[in-house]
Amino acid sequence: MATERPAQHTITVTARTMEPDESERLVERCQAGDRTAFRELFVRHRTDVARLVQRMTGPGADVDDLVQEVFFQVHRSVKDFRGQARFSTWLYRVTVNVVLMQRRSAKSRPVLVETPESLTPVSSGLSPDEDAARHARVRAFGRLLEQISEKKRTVFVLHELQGLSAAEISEIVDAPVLTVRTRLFYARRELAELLKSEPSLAALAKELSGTEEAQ
Amino acid sequence: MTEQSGDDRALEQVTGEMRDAPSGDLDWDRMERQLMARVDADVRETRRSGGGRLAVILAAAAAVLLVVGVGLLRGDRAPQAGVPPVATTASRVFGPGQTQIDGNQLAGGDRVVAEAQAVVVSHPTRANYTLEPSSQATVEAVGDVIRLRLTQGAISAEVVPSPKPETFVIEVDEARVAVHGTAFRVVRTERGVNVSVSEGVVAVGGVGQKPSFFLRARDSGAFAKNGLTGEVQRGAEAAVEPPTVDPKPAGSAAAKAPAPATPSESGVAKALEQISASVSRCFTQSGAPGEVRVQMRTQLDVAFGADGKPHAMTFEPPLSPSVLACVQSDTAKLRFPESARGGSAQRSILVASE
Repeated sequence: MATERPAQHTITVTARTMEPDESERLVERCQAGDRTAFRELFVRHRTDVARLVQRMTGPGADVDDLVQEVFFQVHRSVKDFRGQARFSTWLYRVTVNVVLMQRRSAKSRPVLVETPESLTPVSSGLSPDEDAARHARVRAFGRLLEQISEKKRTVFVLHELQGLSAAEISEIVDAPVLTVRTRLFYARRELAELLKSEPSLAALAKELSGTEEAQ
Repeated sequence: MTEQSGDDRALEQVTGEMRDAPSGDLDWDRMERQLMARVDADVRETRRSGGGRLAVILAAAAAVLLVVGVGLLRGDRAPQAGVPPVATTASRVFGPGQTQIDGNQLAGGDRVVAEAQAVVVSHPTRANYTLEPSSQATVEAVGDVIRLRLTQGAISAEVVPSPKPETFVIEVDEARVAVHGTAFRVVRTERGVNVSVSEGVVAVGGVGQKPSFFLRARDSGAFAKNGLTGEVQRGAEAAVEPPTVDPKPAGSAAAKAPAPATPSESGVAKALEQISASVSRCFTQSGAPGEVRVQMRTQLDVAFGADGKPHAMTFEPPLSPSVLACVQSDTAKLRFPESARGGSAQRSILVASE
Protein backbone atom coordinates (compact mmCIF):
# COMPACT_ATOMS: atom_id res chain seq x y z
CA MET A 1 0.00 0.00 0.00
CA ALA A 2 1.51 3.28 -1.06
CA THR A 3 1.43 5.97 1.56
CA GLU A 4 2.72 9.46 1.32
CA ARG A 5 5.96 9.92 3.18
CA PRO A 6 5.91 12.77 5.69
CA ALA A 7 8.13 15.73 5.06
CA GLN A 8 11.58 15.80 6.65
CA HIS A 9 11.60 17.61 9.96
CA THR A 10 14.11 20.37 10.43
CA ILE A 11 12.59 22.06 13.45
CA THR A 12 14.92 22.89 16.29
CA VAL A 13 13.31 22.66 19.68
CA THR A 14 14.12 25.59 21.88
CA ALA A 15 14.92 24.51 25.39
CA ARG A 16 14.00 27.66 27.22
CA THR A 17 10.46 28.67 27.80
CA MET A 18 11.05 31.94 29.55
CA GLU A 19 13.36 34.92 29.49
CA PRO A 20 16.64 34.47 31.38
CA ASP A 21 16.00 37.54 33.50
CA GLU A 22 12.70 36.13 34.63
CA SER A 23 14.31 32.82 35.57
CA GLU A 24 17.03 34.57 37.50
CA ARG A 25 14.53 36.63 39.42
CA LEU A 26 12.58 33.54 40.33
CA VAL A 27 15.75 31.72 41.34
CA GLU A 28 16.76 34.60 43.58
CA ARG A 29 13.37 34.53 45.24
CA CYS A 30 13.65 30.75 45.64
CA GLN A 31 17.02 31.17 47.27
CA ALA A 32 15.40 33.56 49.71
CA GLY A 33 12.89 30.85 50.62
CA ASP A 34 9.98 32.06 48.52
CA ARG A 35 7.72 29.04 48.08
CA THR A 36 5.58 30.75 45.45
CA ALA A 37 8.61 31.46 43.29
CA PHE A 38 9.60 27.81 43.41
CA ARG A 39 6.12 26.79 42.38
CA GLU A 40 6.32 29.26 39.52
CA LEU A 41 9.63 27.75 38.37
CA PHE A 42 8.05 24.32 38.48
CA VAL A 43 5.07 25.37 36.41
CA ARG A 44 7.21 27.12 33.84
CA HIS A 45 9.82 24.42 33.36
CA ARG A 46 7.98 21.19 34.08
CA THR A 47 7.07 20.48 30.46
CA ASP A 48 10.66 20.79 29.27
CA VAL A 49 11.88 18.61 32.11
CA ALA A 50 9.19 15.99 31.45
CA ARG A 51 10.07 15.89 27.77
CA LEU A 52 13.76 15.35 28.53
CA VAL A 53 12.96 12.70 31.13
CA GLN A 54 10.73 10.83 28.69
CA ARG A 55 13.30 10.92 25.95
CA MET A 56 16.10 9.78 28.22
CA THR A 57 14.22 7.02 29.96
CA GLY A 58 12.24 5.41 27.18
CA PRO A 59 9.29 3.13 27.76
CA GLY A 60 8.33 1.95 31.17
CA ALA A 61 9.80 4.75 33.23
CA ASP A 62 7.80 6.49 35.88
CA VAL A 63 8.04 9.95 34.39
CA ASP A 64 5.86 11.55 37.06
CA ASP A 65 8.14 10.41 39.84
CA LEU A 66 11.28 11.46 38.04
CA VAL A 67 10.01 14.92 37.19
CA GLN A 68 8.94 15.36 40.78
CA GLU A 69 12.36 14.19 41.97
CA VAL A 70 14.11 16.64 39.65
CA PHE A 71 12.22 19.59 41.08
CA PHE A 72 12.66 18.32 44.61
CA GLN A 73 16.41 18.32 44.03
CA VAL A 74 16.17 21.75 42.44
CA HIS A 75 14.53 23.03 45.59
CA ARG A 76 17.28 21.53 47.72
CA SER A 77 20.14 22.70 45.57
CA VAL A 78 18.92 26.05 44.31
CA LYS A 79 20.77 27.81 47.12
CA ASP A 80 24.01 26.58 45.51
CA PHE A 81 23.11 27.96 42.08
CA ARG A 82 25.35 30.95 41.53
CA GLY A 83 24.45 31.75 37.96
CA GLN A 84 27.65 30.31 36.48
CA ALA A 85 25.44 28.79 33.80
CA ARG A 86 21.98 29.61 32.56
CA PHE A 87 19.26 28.29 34.82
CA SER A 88 17.92 26.07 32.05
CA THR A 89 21.37 24.50 31.60
CA TRP A 90 21.66 23.90 35.33
CA LEU A 91 18.14 22.47 35.40
CA TYR A 92 18.97 20.08 32.56
CA ARG A 93 22.06 19.03 34.42
CA VAL A 94 20.01 18.15 37.49
CA THR A 95 17.53 16.33 35.26
CA VAL A 96 20.21 14.29 33.51
CA ASN A 97 21.79 13.31 36.82
CA VAL A 98 18.49 12.27 38.37
CA VAL A 99 17.63 10.18 35.31
CA LEU A 100 21.05 8.54 35.19
CA MET A 101 20.89 7.65 38.86
CA GLN A 102 17.43 6.18 38.36
CA ARG A 103 18.55 4.17 35.37
CA ARG A 104 21.56 2.79 37.22
CA SER A 105 19.42 1.81 40.17
CA ALA A 106 16.87 0.22 37.87
CA LYS A 107 19.57 -1.88 36.23
CA SER A 108 19.97 -3.87 39.39
CA ARG A 109 16.26 -4.46 39.74
CA PRO A 110 14.44 -7.19 37.86
CA VAL A 111 11.96 -6.10 35.21
CA LEU A 112 8.72 -7.91 35.86
CA VAL A 113 6.36 -6.52 33.29
CA GLU A 114 6.56 -4.55 30.10
CA THR A 115 4.94 -1.21 30.66
CA PRO A 116 3.37 0.95 28.02
CA GLU A 117 5.38 3.47 26.05
CA SER A 118 5.59 6.95 27.43
CA LEU A 119 5.87 8.68 24.08
CA THR A 120 2.74 8.86 22.01
CA PRO A 121 2.59 9.59 18.31
CA VAL A 122 1.73 12.99 17.06
CA SER A 123 -1.70 13.28 15.60
CA SER A 124 -0.85 15.24 12.51
CA GLY A 125 -3.69 14.67 10.15
CA LEU A 126 -1.93 11.72 8.51
CA SER A 127 -3.87 8.70 7.42
CA PRO A 128 -4.49 6.14 10.17
CA ASP A 129 -2.06 3.76 8.45
CA GLU A 130 0.69 6.31 8.28
CA ASP A 131 -0.04 7.45 11.83
CA ALA A 132 0.31 3.87 13.05
CA ALA A 133 3.49 3.40 11.02
CA ARG A 134 4.97 6.54 12.51
CA HIS A 135 3.99 5.39 15.98
CA ALA A 136 5.71 2.07 15.35
CA ARG A 137 8.85 3.83 14.13
CA VAL A 138 9.02 6.10 17.17
CA ARG A 139 8.65 3.11 19.49
CA ALA A 140 11.26 1.18 17.55
CA PHE A 141 13.63 4.12 17.67
CA GLY A 142 13.12 4.33 21.42
CA ARG A 143 14.28 0.72 21.66
CA LEU A 144 17.36 1.52 19.60
CA LEU A 145 18.25 4.40 21.89
CA GLU A 146 18.21 1.91 24.74
CA GLN A 147 20.92 -0.08 22.99
CA ILE A 148 23.59 2.59 22.78
CA SER A 149 25.71 3.58 25.75
CA GLU A 150 24.41 5.92 28.41
CA LYS A 151 26.87 8.66 27.50
CA LYS A 152 26.10 8.56 23.81
CA ARG A 153 22.36 8.37 24.41
CA THR A 154 22.46 11.39 26.72
CA VAL A 155 24.35 13.51 24.21
CA PHE A 156 22.16 12.38 21.32
CA VAL A 157 18.95 13.18 23.19
CA LEU A 158 20.18 16.56 24.37
CA HIS A 159 21.39 17.59 20.93
CA GLU A 160 19.05 15.95 18.46
CA LEU A 161 15.84 15.90 20.47
CA GLN A 162 16.20 18.81 22.88
CA GLY A 163 18.07 21.03 20.44
CA LEU A 164 20.91 22.00 22.77
CA SER A 165 24.29 23.09 21.47
CA ALA A 166 27.47 21.11 22.05
CA ALA A 167 28.69 23.87 24.37
CA GLU A 168 25.56 23.67 26.52
CA ILE A 169 25.74 19.88 26.59
CA SER A 170 29.37 20.14 27.59
CA GLU A 171 28.29 22.02 30.73
CA ILE A 172 25.49 19.59 31.45
CA VAL A 173 27.52 16.39 31.20
CA ASP A 174 30.80 17.84 32.49
CA ALA A 175 32.79 16.91 29.44
CA PRO A 176 34.79 18.91 26.88
CA VAL A 177 32.97 20.05 23.77
CA LEU A 178 35.20 17.78 21.71
CA THR A 179 34.09 14.81 23.77
CA VAL A 180 30.46 15.77 23.27
CA ARG A 181 30.95 15.95 19.51
CA THR A 182 32.72 12.61 19.49
CA ARG A 183 29.93 10.94 21.43
CA LEU A 184 27.38 12.47 19.09
CA PHE A 185 29.30 11.23 16.07
CA TYR A 186 29.41 7.68 17.39
CA ALA A 187 25.82 7.78 18.58
CA ARG A 188 24.60 8.69 15.11
CA ARG A 189 26.78 6.07 13.50
CA GLU A 190 25.65 3.33 15.86
CA LEU A 191 22.00 4.26 15.53
CA ALA A 192 22.22 4.31 11.72
CA GLU A 193 23.73 0.84 11.89
CA LEU A 194 21.13 -0.39 14.38
CA LEU A 195 18.24 0.70 12.17
CA LYS A 196 18.59 -2.59 10.31
CA SER A 197 17.56 -4.51 13.39
CA GLU A 198 14.12 -2.91 13.54
CA PRO A 199 11.86 -3.94 10.65
CA SER A 200 9.88 -0.71 10.58
CA LEU A 201 13.05 1.38 10.44
CA ALA A 202 14.82 -0.93 8.04
CA ALA A 203 11.81 -0.59 5.72
CA LEU A 204 11.99 3.18 5.98
CA ALA A 205 15.71 3.14 5.20
CA LYS A 206 15.08 0.92 2.21
CA GLU A 207 12.30 3.16 1.01
CA LEU A 208 14.51 6.21 1.32
CA SER A 209 17.36 4.43 -0.46
CA GLY A 210 14.98 3.64 -3.27
CA THR A 211 13.91 7.25 -3.42
CA GLU A 212 17.49 8.35 -3.72
CA GLU A 213 18.24 5.82 -6.45
CA ALA A 214 15.22 6.98 -8.39
CA GLN A 215 16.47 10.54 -8.19
CA MET B 1 26.96 3.67 -0.34
CA THR B 2 23.31 4.13 -1.30
CA GLU B 3 22.25 1.91 1.58
CA GLN B 4 24.29 3.99 4.02
CA SER B 5 22.69 7.11 2.72
CA GLY B 6 19.26 5.57 3.16
CA ASP B 7 20.12 4.71 6.77
CA ASP B 8 21.24 8.26 7.43
CA ARG B 9 18.08 9.69 5.95
CA ALA B 10 15.94 7.23 7.87
CA LEU B 11 17.76 8.20 11.07
CA GLU B 12 17.14 11.86 10.36
CA GLN B 13 13.47 11.26 9.68
CA VAL B 14 12.74 9.09 12.69
CA THR B 15 14.68 11.48 14.92
CA GLY B 16 12.39 14.23 13.71
CA GLU B 17 9.35 12.07 14.34
CA MET B 18 10.45 11.37 17.87
CA ARG B 19 11.23 15.05 18.40
CA ASP B 20 7.71 15.94 17.32
CA ALA B 21 6.04 13.24 19.38
CA PRO B 22 4.07 14.98 22.12
CA SER B 23 4.67 14.28 25.77
CA GLY B 24 2.42 11.72 27.35
CA ASP B 25 -0.33 12.96 29.60
CA LEU B 26 0.90 13.76 33.07
CA ASP B 27 -1.23 14.70 36.02
CA TRP B 28 0.42 18.02 36.72
CA ASP B 29 -1.93 18.98 39.55
CA ARG B 30 -1.27 15.77 41.42
CA MET B 31 2.45 16.09 40.83
CA GLU B 32 2.46 19.66 42.08
CA ARG B 33 0.56 18.74 45.23
CA GLN B 34 2.95 15.89 45.99
CA LEU B 35 6.02 17.96 45.19
CA MET B 36 5.00 20.89 47.36
CA ALA B 37 4.13 18.51 50.20
CA ARG B 38 7.61 16.96 49.95
CA VAL B 39 9.24 20.37 49.81
CA ASP B 40 7.34 21.59 52.85
CA ALA B 41 8.17 18.42 54.80
CA ASP B 42 11.81 18.76 53.81
CA VAL B 43 11.95 22.36 54.96
CA ARG B 44 10.40 21.38 58.30
CA GLU B 45 12.83 18.48 58.68
CA THR B 46 15.83 20.66 57.87
CA ARG B 47 14.80 23.22 60.46
CA ARG B 48 14.15 20.54 63.04
CA SER B 49 17.41 18.61 62.47
CA GLY B 50 19.41 21.84 62.29
CA GLY B 51 18.24 22.84 65.73
CA GLY B 52 18.11 19.36 67.11
CA ARG B 53 21.59 18.30 66.08
CA LEU B 54 23.33 20.82 68.32
CA ALA B 55 21.25 19.68 71.24
CA VAL B 56 22.04 16.05 70.56
CA ILE B 57 25.75 16.80 70.28
CA LEU B 58 25.84 18.71 73.55
CA ALA B 59 23.76 16.15 75.39
CA ALA B 60 25.81 13.24 74.16
CA ALA B 61 29.33 14.60 74.48
CA ALA B 62 30.08 12.46 77.50
CA ALA B 63 28.26 9.49 76.07
CA VAL B 64 30.52 9.52 73.01
CA LEU B 65 33.58 9.08 75.17
CA LEU B 66 31.86 6.28 76.99
CA VAL B 67 30.83 4.49 73.82
CA VAL B 68 34.31 4.85 72.29
CA GLY B 69 35.84 3.49 75.42
CA VAL B 70 33.51 0.54 75.54
CA GLY B 71 34.16 -0.15 71.87
CA LEU B 72 37.90 -0.19 72.41
CA LEU B 73 37.57 -2.48 75.39
CA ARG B 74 35.46 -4.85 73.30
CA GLY B 75 38.06 -4.70 70.55
CA ASP B 76 35.24 -4.25 68.13
CA ARG B 77 35.18 -1.15 65.99
CA ALA B 78 31.74 -1.82 64.63
CA PRO B 79 28.54 -2.62 66.41
CA GLN B 80 26.96 -5.89 65.38
CA ALA B 81 23.96 -6.00 63.13
CA GLY B 82 20.81 -6.11 65.14
CA VAL B 83 22.03 -3.73 67.81
CA PRO B 84 19.29 -1.15 68.26
CA PRO B 85 20.04 2.48 67.41
CA VAL B 86 22.01 4.30 70.10
CA ALA B 87 19.97 7.45 70.28
CA THR B 88 21.99 8.95 73.07
CA THR B 89 25.18 9.38 71.09
CA ALA B 90 26.08 12.18 68.71
CA SER B 91 26.42 9.65 65.90
CA ARG B 92 22.89 8.93 64.85
CA VAL B 93 22.00 5.54 63.46
CA PHE B 94 20.08 5.17 60.21
CA GLY B 95 18.96 2.06 58.48
CA PRO B 96 17.33 -0.51 60.71
CA GLY B 97 13.76 -0.68 59.47
CA GLN B 98 14.50 1.60 56.52
CA THR B 99 15.35 0.62 52.96
CA GLN B 100 15.82 4.13 51.56
CA ILE B 101 17.74 6.98 53.15
CA ASP B 102 18.14 10.47 51.81
CA GLY B 103 21.89 11.11 51.97
CA ASN B 104 21.25 14.80 52.57
CA GLN B 105 20.04 13.89 56.05
CA LEU B 106 23.36 12.31 56.96
CA ALA B 107 26.22 14.07 58.67
CA GLY B 108 29.74 13.09 59.62
CA GLY B 109 29.68 10.52 62.41
CA ASP B 110 26.31 9.05 61.51
CA ARG B 111 26.08 5.30 61.12
CA VAL B 112 24.12 3.39 58.53
CA VAL B 113 23.11 -0.13 59.43
CA ALA B 114 21.56 -2.73 57.13
CA GLU B 115 20.12 -5.74 58.87
CA ALA B 116 18.03 -8.29 56.94
CA GLN B 117 17.38 -5.89 54.09
CA ALA B 118 19.73 -3.76 52.05
CA VAL B 119 19.66 -0.02 52.65
CA VAL B 120 19.95 2.37 49.72
CA VAL B 121 21.39 5.81 50.45
CA SER B 122 20.83 8.46 47.79
CA HIS B 123 22.84 11.62 47.40
CA PRO B 124 20.86 12.88 44.41
CA THR B 125 22.91 14.10 41.48
CA ARG B 126 26.05 12.77 43.17
CA ALA B 127 25.93 9.14 44.21
CA ASN B 128 23.77 6.22 45.28
CA TYR B 129 25.14 3.50 47.43
CA THR B 130 23.62 0.30 48.71
CA LEU B 131 24.64 -1.13 52.02
CA GLU B 132 24.07 -4.82 51.55
CA PRO B 133 22.28 -6.93 54.18
CA SER B 134 24.19 -7.40 57.45
CA SER B 135 26.48 -4.48 56.67
CA GLN B 136 27.42 -1.34 58.56
CA ALA B 137 29.17 1.87 57.62
CA THR B 138 30.06 5.11 59.32
CA VAL B 139 29.70 8.38 57.47
CA GLU B 140 33.02 10.19 57.76
CA ALA B 141 32.18 13.17 55.57
CA VAL B 142 29.42 14.35 53.25
CA GLY B 143 30.88 17.59 51.89
CA ASP B 144 32.60 17.83 48.52
CA VAL B 145 33.72 14.28 49.10
CA ILE B 146 31.41 11.59 50.40
CA ARG B 147 33.60 9.46 52.64
CA LEU B 148 32.42 6.27 54.32
CA ARG B 149 34.09 3.76 56.57
CA LEU B 150 32.83 0.24 55.93
CA THR B 151 32.91 -1.55 59.24
CA GLN B 152 31.06 -4.68 58.23
CA GLY B 153 29.73 -6.31 55.07
CA ALA B 154 29.62 -4.80 51.60
CA ILE B 155 28.72 -1.63 49.75
CA SER B 156 27.79 -1.24 46.09
CA ALA B 157 28.02 2.31 44.81
CA GLU B 158 27.16 4.27 41.70
CA VAL B 159 28.85 7.63 41.48
CA VAL B 160 28.01 10.35 38.98
CA PRO B 161 31.12 11.33 37.01
CA SER B 162 32.64 14.61 38.14
CA PRO B 163 35.69 16.59 37.05
CA LYS B 164 36.61 16.94 40.71
CA PRO B 165 39.11 14.37 41.94
CA GLU B 166 37.82 11.69 44.27
CA THR B 167 34.24 12.53 44.99
CA PHE B 168 33.50 9.26 46.74
CA VAL B 169 35.76 7.32 49.09
CA ILE B 170 35.25 4.12 51.05
CA GLU B 171 37.73 3.22 53.74
CA VAL B 172 38.09 -0.28 55.14
CA ASP B 173 40.53 -0.55 58.02
CA GLU B 174 43.62 1.15 56.60
CA ALA B 175 42.65 0.59 52.98
CA ARG B 176 41.16 3.36 50.90
CA VAL B 177 39.04 2.98 47.75
CA ALA B 178 38.53 6.24 45.88
CA VAL B 179 36.58 6.97 42.73
CA HIS B 180 35.64 9.72 40.33
CA GLY B 181 32.51 8.51 38.58
CA THR B 182 31.87 4.83 38.47
CA ALA B 183 29.89 1.84 39.63
CA PHE B 184 31.65 -0.58 41.91
CA ARG B 185 31.32 -2.87 44.91
CA VAL B 186 33.47 -3.06 48.02
CA VAL B 187 33.34 -6.04 50.37
CA ARG B 188 35.01 -6.17 53.75
CA THR B 189 36.55 -9.60 54.25
CA GLU B 190 38.47 -11.33 57.02
CA ARG B 191 41.73 -10.57 55.27
CA GLY B 192 41.01 -7.10 53.94
CA VAL B 193 38.84 -5.78 51.19
CA ASN B 194 37.53 -7.00 47.84
CA VAL B 195 36.70 -4.49 45.12
CA SER B 196 34.94 -5.10 41.83
CA VAL B 197 34.38 -2.36 39.27
CA SER B 198 31.49 -2.20 36.81
CA GLU B 199 32.22 1.19 35.28
CA GLY B 200 34.89 3.85 35.45
CA VAL B 201 38.15 3.79 37.37
CA VAL B 202 38.76 3.07 41.04
CA ALA B 203 41.97 3.73 42.94
CA VAL B 204 42.94 1.49 45.86
CA GLY B 205 45.67 2.29 48.33
CA GLY B 206 46.47 2.95 51.94
CA VAL B 207 44.71 5.67 53.91
CA GLY B 208 46.77 8.84 53.59
CA GLN B 209 48.94 7.37 50.85
CA LYS B 210 49.00 7.54 47.10
CA PRO B 211 47.03 4.82 45.27
CA SER B 212 48.73 1.48 44.86
CA PHE B 213 46.31 0.01 42.34
CA PHE B 214 43.96 1.27 39.67
CA LEU B 215 41.01 -0.87 38.69
CA ARG B 216 39.04 -0.29 35.54
CA ALA B 217 35.67 -1.56 34.34
CA ARG B 218 35.33 -5.33 34.73
CA ASP B 219 38.41 -5.54 36.96
CA SER B 220 38.26 -6.97 40.44
CA GLY B 221 40.81 -7.31 43.18
CA ALA B 222 41.46 -8.58 46.68
CA PHE B 223 43.56 -6.31 48.88
CA ALA B 224 45.12 -6.41 52.30
CA LYS B 225 43.70 -4.37 55.17
CA ASN B 226 46.29 -1.68 54.59
CA GLY B 227 45.42 -1.43 50.87
CA LEU B 228 49.08 -1.61 49.92
CA THR B 229 49.21 -5.17 48.69
CA GLY B 230 46.78 -7.28 46.77
CA GLU B 231 45.94 -8.99 43.54
CA VAL B 232 43.99 -7.59 40.61
CA GLN B 233 42.06 -9.71 38.16
CA ARG B 234 41.91 -7.79 34.94
CA GLY B 235 38.72 -7.85 32.88
CA ALA B 236 38.72 -7.35 29.13
CA GLU B 237 41.97 -5.61 28.20
CA ALA B 238 41.76 -2.28 26.40
CA ALA B 239 42.45 -3.27 22.85
CA VAL B 240 42.61 -1.66 19.50
CA GLU B 241 39.10 -1.88 18.14
CA PRO B 242 38.52 -3.31 14.72
CA PRO B 243 38.27 -0.55 12.18
CA THR B 244 34.89 1.00 11.84
CA VAL B 245 33.17 2.66 8.96
CA ASP B 246 34.02 6.29 8.48
CA PRO B 247 30.99 7.93 6.92
CA LYS B 248 33.08 10.66 5.38
CA PRO B 249 36.22 9.10 3.93
CA ALA B 250 38.71 11.61 2.63
CA GLY B 251 38.28 12.14 -1.06
CA SER B 252 42.01 12.37 -1.67
CA ALA B 253 42.61 8.89 -0.31
CA ALA B 254 40.64 7.34 -3.13
CA ALA B 255 42.96 8.76 -5.77
CA LYS B 256 46.09 7.23 -4.24
CA ALA B 257 47.23 3.64 -4.41
CA PRO B 258 44.67 1.48 -2.65
CA ALA B 259 45.13 1.65 1.10
CA PRO B 260 44.98 -1.52 3.17
CA ALA B 261 41.52 -2.49 4.35
CA THR B 262 42.50 -2.05 7.97
CA PRO B 263 45.14 0.17 9.54
CA SER B 264 48.31 -1.65 10.56
CA GLU B 265 48.30 -2.54 14.23
CA SER B 266 51.89 -1.48 14.71
CA GLY B 267 51.14 1.88 13.14
CA VAL B 268 48.15 2.39 15.42
CA ALA B 269 50.20 1.40 18.46
CA LYS B 270 52.93 3.83 17.47
CA ALA B 271 50.45 6.71 17.12
CA LEU B 272 48.88 5.85 20.48
CA GLU B 273 52.33 5.83 22.01
CA GLN B 274 52.95 9.34 20.70
CA ILE B 275 49.69 10.57 22.23
CA SER B 276 50.57 8.91 25.56
CA ALA B 277 53.98 10.58 25.53
CA SER B 278 52.37 13.92 24.78
CA VAL B 279 49.85 13.54 27.63
CA SER B 280 52.66 12.62 29.99
CA ARG B 281 54.80 15.58 28.93
CA CYS B 282 51.93 18.07 29.10
CA PHE B 283 50.75 16.74 32.46
CA THR B 284 54.24 17.05 33.93
CA GLN B 285 54.62 20.53 32.51
CA SER B 286 51.32 21.72 33.94
CA GLY B 287 51.99 20.56 37.49
CA ALA B 288 53.11 23.00 40.15
CA PRO B 289 56.46 22.08 41.71
CA GLY B 290 56.07 20.45 45.07
CA GLU B 291 56.68 17.39 47.12
CA VAL B 292 53.40 15.74 46.27
CA ARG B 293 53.62 13.31 43.40
CA VAL B 294 50.35 13.35 41.47
CA GLN B 295 49.28 10.33 39.47
CA MET B 296 46.45 10.25 36.97
CA ARG B 297 44.90 7.64 34.73
CA THR B 298 42.72 8.55 31.79
CA GLN B 299 41.09 6.55 29.04
CA LEU B 300 41.92 7.76 25.55
CA ASP B 301 39.38 7.18 22.79
CA VAL B 302 40.46 8.31 19.35
CA ALA B 303 38.77 8.04 15.97
CA PHE B 304 40.63 8.64 12.73
CA GLY B 305 39.71 8.80 9.08
CA ALA B 306 40.90 6.91 6.04
CA ASP B 307 43.77 9.37 5.65
CA GLY B 308 44.88 8.62 9.21
CA LYS B 309 44.00 12.07 10.48
CA PRO B 310 42.41 11.96 13.96
CA HIS B 311 39.04 13.65 13.87
CA ALA B 312 38.05 13.06 17.47
CA MET B 313 40.11 12.44 20.54
CA THR B 314 38.55 12.14 23.97
CA PHE B 315 39.87 11.51 27.45
CA GLU B 316 37.77 10.09 30.27
CA PRO B 317 38.13 11.42 32.93
CA PRO B 318 38.78 14.59 30.98
CA LEU B 319 42.14 16.35 31.01
CA SER B 320 42.30 19.84 32.39
CA PRO B 321 41.86 22.51 29.70
CA SER B 322 45.54 23.51 29.79
CA VAL B 323 46.77 19.92 29.46
CA LEU B 324 44.24 19.23 26.71
CA ALA B 325 45.32 22.30 24.77
CA CYS B 326 48.95 21.24 25.10
CA VAL B 327 48.16 17.71 23.86
CA GLN B 328 46.13 19.04 20.96
CA SER B 329 49.00 21.27 19.94
CA ASP B 330 51.49 18.42 20.32
CA THR B 331 49.49 16.03 18.21
CA ALA B 332 48.24 18.42 15.55
CA LYS B 333 50.33 16.71 12.89
CA LEU B 334 49.92 13.19 14.23
CA ARG B 335 48.68 10.65 11.70
CA PHE B 336 47.47 7.09 12.12
CA PRO B 337 48.14 4.61 9.31
CA GLU B 338 46.07 5.11 6.20
CA SER B 339 43.43 2.52 5.51
CA ALA B 340 40.31 2.07 3.44
CA ARG B 341 37.92 3.03 6.19
CA GLY B 342 39.84 4.62 9.01
CA GLY B 343 39.19 3.32 12.49
CA SER B 344 39.24 3.96 16.18
CA ALA B 345 41.45 2.96 19.07
CA GLN B 346 41.54 3.18 22.84
CA ARG B 347 44.28 3.21 25.40
CA SER B 348 44.49 3.67 29.13
CA ILE B 349 47.16 6.21 29.96
CA LEU B 350 48.79 6.51 33.37
CA VAL B 351 50.91 9.59 33.99
CA ALA B 352 52.62 10.97 37.06
CA SER B 353 54.13 14.31 37.96
CA GLU B 354 57.85 14.48 38.56
